[in-house]
Amino acid sequence: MKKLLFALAVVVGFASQNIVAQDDMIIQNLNIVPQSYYSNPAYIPQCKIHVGFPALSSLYIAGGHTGFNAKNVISINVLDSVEVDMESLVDQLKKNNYVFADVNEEILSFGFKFKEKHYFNFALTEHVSFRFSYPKDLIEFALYGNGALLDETLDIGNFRLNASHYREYAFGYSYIYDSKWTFGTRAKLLFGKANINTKRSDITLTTESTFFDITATSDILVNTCELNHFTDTNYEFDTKEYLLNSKNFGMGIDLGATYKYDDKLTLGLSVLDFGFISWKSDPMNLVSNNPGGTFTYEGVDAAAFFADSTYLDNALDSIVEIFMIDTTYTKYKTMLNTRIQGSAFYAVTPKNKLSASARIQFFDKGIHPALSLGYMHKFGDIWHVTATYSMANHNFTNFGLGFSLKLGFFQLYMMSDNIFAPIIWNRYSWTETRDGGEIVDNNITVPSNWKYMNFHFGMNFVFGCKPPKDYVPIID
Amino acid sequence: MKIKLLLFSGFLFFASFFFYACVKDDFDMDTVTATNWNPNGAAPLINSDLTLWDILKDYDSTDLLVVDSNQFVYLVYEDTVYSQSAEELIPIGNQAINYTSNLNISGGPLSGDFTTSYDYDFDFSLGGGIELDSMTLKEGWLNMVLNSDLNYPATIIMTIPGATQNGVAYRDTLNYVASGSSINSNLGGTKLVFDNSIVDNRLQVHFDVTVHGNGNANLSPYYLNFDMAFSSLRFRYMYGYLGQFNLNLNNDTIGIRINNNSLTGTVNWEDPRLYINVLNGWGVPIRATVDYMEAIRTNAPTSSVVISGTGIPNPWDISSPAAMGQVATSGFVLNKSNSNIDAALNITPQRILALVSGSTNPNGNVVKNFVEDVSRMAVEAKLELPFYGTANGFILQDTFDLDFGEDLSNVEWLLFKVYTKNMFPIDGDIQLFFCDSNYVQLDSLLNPLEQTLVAATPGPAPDYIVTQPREKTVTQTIQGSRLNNLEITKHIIVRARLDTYSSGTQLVKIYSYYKLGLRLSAQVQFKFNSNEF
Repeated sequence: MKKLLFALAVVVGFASQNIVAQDDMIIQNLNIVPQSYYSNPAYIPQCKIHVGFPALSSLYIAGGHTGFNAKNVISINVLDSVEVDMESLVDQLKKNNYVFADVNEEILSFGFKFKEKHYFNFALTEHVSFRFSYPKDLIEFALYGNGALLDETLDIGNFRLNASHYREYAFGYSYIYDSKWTFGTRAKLLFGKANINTKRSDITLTTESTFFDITATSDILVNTCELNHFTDTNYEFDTKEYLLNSKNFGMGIDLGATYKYDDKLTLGLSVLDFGFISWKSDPMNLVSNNPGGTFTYEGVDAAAFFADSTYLDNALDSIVEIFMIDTTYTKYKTMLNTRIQGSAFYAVTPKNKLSASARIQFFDKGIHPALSLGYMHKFGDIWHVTATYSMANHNFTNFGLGFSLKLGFFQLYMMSDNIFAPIIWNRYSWTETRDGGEIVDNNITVPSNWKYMNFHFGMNFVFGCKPPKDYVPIID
Repeated sequence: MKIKLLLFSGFLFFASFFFYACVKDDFDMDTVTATNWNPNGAAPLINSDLTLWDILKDYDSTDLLVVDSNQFVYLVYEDTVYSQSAEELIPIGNQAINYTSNLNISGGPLSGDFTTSYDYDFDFSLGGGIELDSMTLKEGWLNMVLNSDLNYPATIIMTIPGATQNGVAYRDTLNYVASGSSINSNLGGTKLVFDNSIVDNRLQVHFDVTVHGNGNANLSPYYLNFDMAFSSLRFRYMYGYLGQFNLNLNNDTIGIRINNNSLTGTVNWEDPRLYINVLNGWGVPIRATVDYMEAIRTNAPTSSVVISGTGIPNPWDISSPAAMGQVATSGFVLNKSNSNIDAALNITPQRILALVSGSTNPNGNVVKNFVEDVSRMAVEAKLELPFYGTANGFILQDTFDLDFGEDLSNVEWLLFKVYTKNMFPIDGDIQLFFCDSNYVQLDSLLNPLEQTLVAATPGPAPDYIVTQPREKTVTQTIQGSRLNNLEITKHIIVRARLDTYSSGTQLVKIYSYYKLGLRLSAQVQFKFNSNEF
């Protein structure tokens, strides 16, 4: 049993730096890659024309866990025995901890410059994201008990599951205003396919220190779209109908600008994914019958208990009434994961460039910042490499690498914000005695300190990659 | 070419970062050392605002707390110590009479009818000198058997003028065919009016006999034997003189259940009252004698006090109602000024015994009586205890079953917190004793030196009203070897030593709005080890 628990801890804790991102930060350093305009629509790629390799022009995969990882919890002591440090586990947790995964798959894309000052682009992308948060308070509550956390409001029910699949049609336009300023925008038409959105999941527990009165509150609203079908056991999933569903319409926009301070320094600012999706097809809402309902248990009224045989039943009915969850079927709206990003690029030499960027994201009623420092070196027009160091959400050990290789019209790129973590792995092994006495060796191998990883890969066909120097703000 | 080779080598180097991985450490999870898990749980257990009703409920669920217009509380124990109906008092036995007469029919064989008649007196035999004027029956039977050697058929008409049914004199016919012929009549609803002019309780019976000649030989003289009986008589009304009967009214006692769980100590009730009331529905004069009254303490140490005083009337003439259906009430009350009832209650008795005797018509047959079968004579005793007085060292104790479980090895310590907010002017030292299955005390919960309940300060006389409750919090932790005692605890004894304000030296009064706020909370420190799972 304990081995199973440990194994579970290892699996759950296998990830991340506290970045919860929908794209990588490193890509902005490789401006020869057309998809670099994902980080700022004012970035105009170096090549005049690009056509993405169908279905392979940009594949972005990310996943992680912002809480603890196995390294924090499991260690080997001087007696060569494995130790599990639950205190360390709790210490590693933040107020809210996330398990997340993102996949962005660009199906089609192309872009071209027009009269040197105008850049148009288009991309059709499938976005799938999953983010599950759990509260540190719940782990503390389970580990320490309510008696050790008196007078603290424990947010034990803050489980938020947010997952979406939507299709994005993005139309981009960038304009070189003058020798200093460049502006850009990407208008997005969005078509949601499926969604689950935890708008509120506030279940709190407070034990006051005088008489240990326990107060619980509950306020839950979980919206789902296209998931209600699965409550019907006779439902048969229709892939075509699912993929062509256009009832959940949304819009979004990216805005960006760059300012070329001088020949070496260029500054950029962008607002990304500002928009929404209205979820209308097969919506289902799980909502508290009594939003914000509060119940305080102060002990049994002995007099009432002995006088009224239904006392406990009535009390339970009251609690159920307060915390009951109702099901409704109302359409709802979700906002995109808006991000604001500022960047600075400094060309040390024509082939060497430094960069710094800061990004803030807004979700779960909080601001989530990230900072990245980068270096890019260009080996001619063929091979560009970049390395980054990132800090995000109090995690300071993320080293990224990326490159772009251009062979003729063909361009290949590959990058990651966190290259070292997935390289070093630990193996956790145990024996298991099965029915019949058979002893089986089990093991699981997971990254040693891997709390987060992303991977971005793509192939394009690029043409006309020698731009007039005066009109390209960032690249050389 | 070299440059392209260099670039390609660099590409492979970078790409290898994405696909190469190495195992740094091996963890043999079979060697995991034990991990401790020490959660701490805390919860409130009891939160009550207890009124006097709530507190006394366990002891006095069948008794009554009474509140006057000033919200002053009385504890009232009321019991019917004697109750008897008139039917139970005066049983009417079966009545029987047997008459024999000769019948002479002159001449030879009789071929026509021959008539004759007889009159007899039926005297009821009733005990106690009863002299009834009338009696209405709700049930009863009259049976008459004619034994004779008469060899002719005959018709006998029996008439009782003093017995009427719906105003018509009783009349019934017996057709004689052979010796032993009989009739049986239902007397329900029959009113019997007795003729007491010569002999008490007499009814006159008249027989008209018609012999029907059939040509048989005349064998005169014949004998006629009338065997009559009134049986299963139950009266509804009875008028007249009902005689002298002794009444034993000592069938019961008054239970004072508030003292059932008292161990020791004194309670000085400042204004106790013991009411003895007789409710008499019989139209019969009664004279009672209070033979003996005693307060008895059955709990150890046992004791008793004979209740005496000028307030006890001896002899005691009980009033009787003026008309059927009415109830006359007679009574007396014992209090501090006319008896030692206060001293008797000081011993915290569990019951009061009252021996009362009496007799009906103590002056003989001087007044007419009347009773209805359901009319009753009842003696009711009521002990009224206004919560006004003092108490000192009054100890209440009760026992409950309790089981903490046989294994508390995962408990490191257990903390109990008791909070009281007391509006009663009563100090209390409360202790909980943990006992094994043989009621052997293993441990106690609270520090014996720490008073649990602090008396609120009463106001000035004469009302002694408390305005400010007193609060107290007591905390106790059980740990170490004391936890072992809890594992074998099967019973818990709750003992409370109660003193009224100022160690029972100051008079206090209890009002209905007084409350005892009681909160009991517990905190448990657990200790688990991963090897246990």
